[in-house]
Amino acid sequence: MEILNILLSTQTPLLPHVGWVGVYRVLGWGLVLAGIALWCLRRSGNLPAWQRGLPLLLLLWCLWPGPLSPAYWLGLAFRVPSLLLVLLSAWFLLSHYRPQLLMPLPLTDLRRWALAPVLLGWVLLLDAFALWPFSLYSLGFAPLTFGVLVLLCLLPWSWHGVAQPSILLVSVLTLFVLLRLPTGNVWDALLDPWLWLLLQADWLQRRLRRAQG
Amino acid sequence: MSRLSFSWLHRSAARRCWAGLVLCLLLTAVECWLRAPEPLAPKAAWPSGTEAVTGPLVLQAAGRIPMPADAPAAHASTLLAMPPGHPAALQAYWFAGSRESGPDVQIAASEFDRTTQQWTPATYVVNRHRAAAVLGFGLRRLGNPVAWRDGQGRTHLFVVATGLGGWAAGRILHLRQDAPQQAFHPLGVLPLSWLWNTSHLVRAMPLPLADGGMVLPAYFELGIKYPVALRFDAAGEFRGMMRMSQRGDLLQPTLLPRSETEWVGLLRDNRAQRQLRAVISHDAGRNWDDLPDLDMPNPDASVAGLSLRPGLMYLAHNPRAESRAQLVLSRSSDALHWTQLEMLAQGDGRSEFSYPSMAWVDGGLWISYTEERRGIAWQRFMPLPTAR
Repeated sequence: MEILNILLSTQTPLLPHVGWVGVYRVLGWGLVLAGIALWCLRRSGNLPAWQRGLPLLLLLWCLWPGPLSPAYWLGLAFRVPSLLLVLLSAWFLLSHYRPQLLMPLPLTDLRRWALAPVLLGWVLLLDAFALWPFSLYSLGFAPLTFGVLVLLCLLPWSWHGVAQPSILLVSVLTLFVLLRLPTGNVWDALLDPWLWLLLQADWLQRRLRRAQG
Repeated sequence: MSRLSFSWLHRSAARRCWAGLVLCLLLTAVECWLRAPEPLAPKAAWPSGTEAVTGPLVLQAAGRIPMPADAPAAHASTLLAMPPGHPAALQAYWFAGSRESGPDVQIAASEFDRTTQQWTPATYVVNRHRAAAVLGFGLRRLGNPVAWRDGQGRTHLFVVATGLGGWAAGRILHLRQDAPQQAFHPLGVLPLSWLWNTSHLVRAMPLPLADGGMVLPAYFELGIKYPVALRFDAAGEFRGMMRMSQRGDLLQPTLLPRSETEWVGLLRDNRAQRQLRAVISHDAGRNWDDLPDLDMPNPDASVAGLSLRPGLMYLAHNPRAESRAQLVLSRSSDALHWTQLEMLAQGDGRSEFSYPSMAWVDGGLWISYTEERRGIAWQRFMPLPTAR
């Protein structure tokens, strides 16, 4: 009974240290912006040598302290990106700049499981406006929610033998356990509104392409 | 990502399931192990020295709290009782600047000195630029400070700090002062919502708990408006949140304990009906139920409640639905039925006396409130000694 109480308790949230959050914010937004820049550049074709350094410059710009940094203003508006978005960005960047270290992002495998975070985002959005009879966000502080999420994140591997999505998601949850980033709430580690919008935009784009033949 | 070489594990679905289960149990065990122990069941606490209050309260002193220089606007004060032996009887915090939500608004503070029986000159204690420099991200506007002393005698400030969007897109910034005369340093923004953590605000005083912690009433304000109760332990650590109502038009809750575990929340009404609204918890804030309207007009304005002991509660509120031109003090034994005692302030229809705060200090009831959005007024009531 006591174990169940511990697992269900939302009264023992462990928040990250403010210093860690500060480092994570600049690094996280830097990686996300660099990832977006690289994605935009790659869409325009082969990268000239001078363009290859642009994402890195964006990352360094975010590390600049104070209001001159984009991370300062992104933090004002959107606080911090999720661990998942940051890891996806880091994977994308590393696999481009160091292809011998990392294989490219397994987009096909990831897209196969994208419906789950899209639905989760809708549920969390409605929860923010109190449209559910209970507070789902608050459950993100409970160890049981964390445990269930680990199991669900392992499903692609244990059920279908597809390892990469599970490795990515369990890495997010492991980092969350150790560092509590970004807020101490597991929902914020797994999904942020920008990633949620991105997943939907990607789904919409693929549907439109398919419709156009 | 490097290709996995654990082929013996990878090949069998049963092995993968078992490995996944073990990994899940391991990570969940680490998650549980790292956490603080479950806090004790919350129990409300009351101010000490209130047993002698049996007769009526009489006004003993009143005035205005000094304003900072070059700050023509002031609003949303909060009072903090200081312990016996402290040079100040109580401290007041409010926001001041050129106008509400102005870019120059800062959190101002003053304290009532026990020796001189005067308020000290106001000083600014929270500046958005300095706080942003520490936090590493911008803060657009500041407002609505709420102060609390933790079990170690440190002062905590909870301040609304806006990001992108207007006032309704605010967040709750948590700051702490570790010793008198030290600066308040930002501890971070409370994590209360998935949607970029927007639209949780504070206004009313916390409900003190017997374990040295407190429950901070807060509310969501973006479109739908609903109250939440945030729990903090004696060290000032965040210990979770609980939604207080299923309705979508309630904000700025103030908490009144009727017993250790039975608490009433009184709320500002955002509907056209303009009534004071109420919610109740019978289990110390774990579950809340909506109550019928109290049949007390309220002009969509903040109220302040203070419970001195079970069966004796005071409420400072605006009693007219159409304006904030009157501010009164009422008394109740159950937090639901109120008797008007005193007219604290009144003016013509355009006047505003609003956003009260209360504290019980040195055997007297202190009330502060916004006066015409230009200053913070205060009044002190003392109980009449009972005839022997």
